[in-house]
Amino acid sequence: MKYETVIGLEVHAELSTKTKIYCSCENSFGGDTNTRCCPVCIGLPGALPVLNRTVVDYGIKAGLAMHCSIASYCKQDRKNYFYPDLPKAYQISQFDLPLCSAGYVEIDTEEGMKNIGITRIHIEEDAGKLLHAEGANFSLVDYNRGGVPLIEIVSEPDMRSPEEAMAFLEAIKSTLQAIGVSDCKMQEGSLRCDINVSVRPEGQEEFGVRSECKNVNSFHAAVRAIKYERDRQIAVLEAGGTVEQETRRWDDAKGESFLMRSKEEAHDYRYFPEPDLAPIYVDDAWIEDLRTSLPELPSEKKKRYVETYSLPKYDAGLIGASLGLSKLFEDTVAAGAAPKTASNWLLGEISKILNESMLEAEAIPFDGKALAELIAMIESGAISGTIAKQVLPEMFAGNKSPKQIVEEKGLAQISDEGAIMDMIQEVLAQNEAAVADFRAGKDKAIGFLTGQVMRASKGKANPGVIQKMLREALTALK
Amino acid sequence: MKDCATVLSAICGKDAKDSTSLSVPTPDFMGALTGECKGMKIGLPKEYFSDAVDPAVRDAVLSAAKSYEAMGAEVAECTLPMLDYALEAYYLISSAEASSNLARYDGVRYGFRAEGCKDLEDLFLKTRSEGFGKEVKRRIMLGTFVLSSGYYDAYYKKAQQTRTLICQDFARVFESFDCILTPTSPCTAWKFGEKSADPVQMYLADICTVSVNIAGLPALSMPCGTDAAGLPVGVQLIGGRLRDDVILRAAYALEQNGKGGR
Ligand SMILES: [Zn+2]
Repeated sequence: MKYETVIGLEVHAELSTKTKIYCSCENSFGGDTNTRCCPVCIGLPGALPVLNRTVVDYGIKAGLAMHCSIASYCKQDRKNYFYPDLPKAYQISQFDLPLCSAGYVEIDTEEGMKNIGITRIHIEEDAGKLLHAEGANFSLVDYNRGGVPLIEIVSEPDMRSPEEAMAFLEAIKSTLQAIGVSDCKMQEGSLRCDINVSVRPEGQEEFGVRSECKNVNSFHAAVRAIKYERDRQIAVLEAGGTVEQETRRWDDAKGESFLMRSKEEAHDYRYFPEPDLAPIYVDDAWIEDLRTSLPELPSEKKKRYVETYSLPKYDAGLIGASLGLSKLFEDTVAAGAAPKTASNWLLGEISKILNESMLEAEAIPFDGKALAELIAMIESGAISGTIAKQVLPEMFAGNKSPKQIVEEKGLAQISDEGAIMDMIQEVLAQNEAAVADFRAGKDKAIGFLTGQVMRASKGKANPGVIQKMLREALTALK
Repeated sequence: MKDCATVLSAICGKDAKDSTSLSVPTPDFMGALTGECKGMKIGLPKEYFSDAVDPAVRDAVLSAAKSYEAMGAEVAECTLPMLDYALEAYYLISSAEASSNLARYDGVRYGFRAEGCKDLEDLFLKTRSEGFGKEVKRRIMLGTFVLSSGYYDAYYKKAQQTRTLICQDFARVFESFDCILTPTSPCTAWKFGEKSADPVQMYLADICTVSVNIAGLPALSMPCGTDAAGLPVGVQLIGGRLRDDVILRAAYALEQNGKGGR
C-alpha cells in the first residue's frame, strides 16, 4: 500500500534580547557556568518575575512576519513538572491564550508555492542545562540558559514530506533572522524542534495516529528523524500492527528514535495562569508600530530579485533567505555588477568558501564594492576567471581590495602577445601529438593546447588572446 | 492606627520587581487620620452575623457599630450573597498556588535534601515527604488535585469564576457604602491543638478574613473588647479597592472614641 506522511513541527527559537525574559541577567551564549543568573532565574523563594517587554515585541514581530493574528489580550501560565534544570519546578509559558495564532509561512515545493499553517506562537522561558561528567554518579546544572526567552512556533500538520519540513524550517530560520529576533544558531541550541509524524494510506482523509519526536537539534537531524519515524510507522502498519500515540527521543548518533513515554505515561503539567504576572494587553498602536518596523522578509526579497533583477527563482530564494548574502548581493549590483554574475559568485565560489570554513554569510569580510571590483576586472580582461578564483580567498583573508591583491601577487593577466607567443611555441614543441591531431582536422585539440598555454602562464594569460594566436600559429605550421 | 498609617506610607507604591503591584499615587494616609467619621456610610453585611458567630463577638461588633452611629456615621445592613462560597474558593485557589510555589523545595537547588536517594525521582519523593509538614502536605495535595487535568474546570476554574462574582458583590456594596464592618473571626481564640484534628473547623475560623484576599480589597483588624473569658475580640474594617485611607480614617475615629484600645 502507498502511504502519505503527515508532519507537524514545534520549533523553539531563542530570542536574541539583551536580557532574559523575567530578570535583567544578560542573555548570551557561553560564559562560565552559573555566572548569568540571579535570584529570579534560579527561582529563589520570594523573587518574582517581571516580563521583559522586548520579548513581547519580538514575539509579535515573529507573528506578523508569519501572517498571524496578534492577541489583544493574552496571559502567561505555569507548566508544572519536576526536573533539575528547572529550579522553580515550573516553566512560565503560555497555555490556552498564545500571543500569536492562525498564520502561515510560504515554502517552495516541487509542485510550486505552498502555505504551511502556523497554529500559534507563544513566549516562554528556557530551562537550564544538565552537565554529565563522564563516569560520575551525579550531574551538575548550569542555570545560565534558565530564563532565556523563547518563542515556540507550532505548525499545522501541513507538511507531506521530509523535504517540505526542511523547507519549512529554512523559512522559519530565514524569517526570524531577517526580522532580527533570533540568530537561529543550531550549534548553540538557539533553534530546536519537536516533530509530529503520522502516516495514512494515500487517499484517506482521516489522520493516522501520530508520535512526537523530541531532541532534534539540527535540520539534518529533523529530516532523518522524520524519515525514520515514517518508515517505522509504515512497517508497524504493514505488519498488521497499530501505531501508538507516544513520545519518542531521537538519537542522532544512532540514527534511531526510542520510546520516551507512552500516552498513559504522558505528563499532566497542571497548567494554570501565572499569578505573579499580569495579563498582556496589546493595542493596535503597538502592533502597527512593530509592523512598520519590520524589514523586507525573505519571501518578499525573493520576489523582488526575480522581478527587478531577473534572477532565477532558485538563486533569488537562496540569496533572499540570507541576510548576509542579500546585503552583499544588493551592494555588489549597486556597485555596477550584473545581477546574475554577482549571484553566480555568491552562490558558487563564495558559498563554497563559507561552507568549507563553516562560516555564516554575515562573516564575509569584504563588501559589495570589492566584489563588484573583482567582477569588473574579469570583464575588462585585467584578470581571468581562473585568477579571480585565486583572488577571492585572499579577499577573505584580509582587508585588501582585489586590485591590491592582483598587483601584489603579480596576478594581472598577460595580454602581451610577445610573451604569450613564447609560451605557445614551447607548448607546440612539447605536444606534437596534439598538433598532429589539429592538422588532421580535429579542432578539439585547440582546447587542449589552450589549456596547456594557460597552465604555462599560471592562469595569467588571456584565454581569448591565446586561442586567437594559437590558431594563427597552427595555421602557419600547416 | 498612627503606627499602621506610618508603616503603610513607607511600604505603599509600585515595586519594580513585583509585577502585581500597581503604579498609582500613594494616598495621604496620615492626613486620613482626622479622628472623625461624620457622614461616613458603614455597611454591616448580614452574612457575617449568622448563628455560627459567637454571641460575644457579635455583641462587640454591634457595639462598635453603635459607636460609629454616635459619631455621626450612617450604619446600615448590606448583603454579600456570594460570601458563602468565599472560603471554598479561597482554599482551592491558595492551595493550587501553594502546590506550585512549594514545588521548588525539591532538594535540587537549595533547602533540605533527603539522604540516601537512589535516583532523581527518589530524591524528589524523599525530600518532599520528609521536608514538608502535615498541613503543608495537605494543601499541596489539595492544590495538585484541583489543577489536575479532568478536575481543573470543576475546581480551579470554578473557584476563579466564584472569585469574580465575589469581587462584583463587594463592588456593588461599595457603590453605596464607604466601608464594611465585620467580625475578624467568628470566635475568640481556642486552645492550642484543640482543633488540629479537624482541619475544616480550623479553616472555618478564617471565614471572615479570606474574602478580602480573594477580592483584592484593603482591610484591617483592630481589638474591640473581650469575651466573658477575657479573650480579645477583633473587628474588621473592609474598604473599597485601593481605599486603605478610608478604613484608616474609620479605624482611627473608633480608636479615638475609646474603643479599639488595648
Ligand atoms: Zn536572572
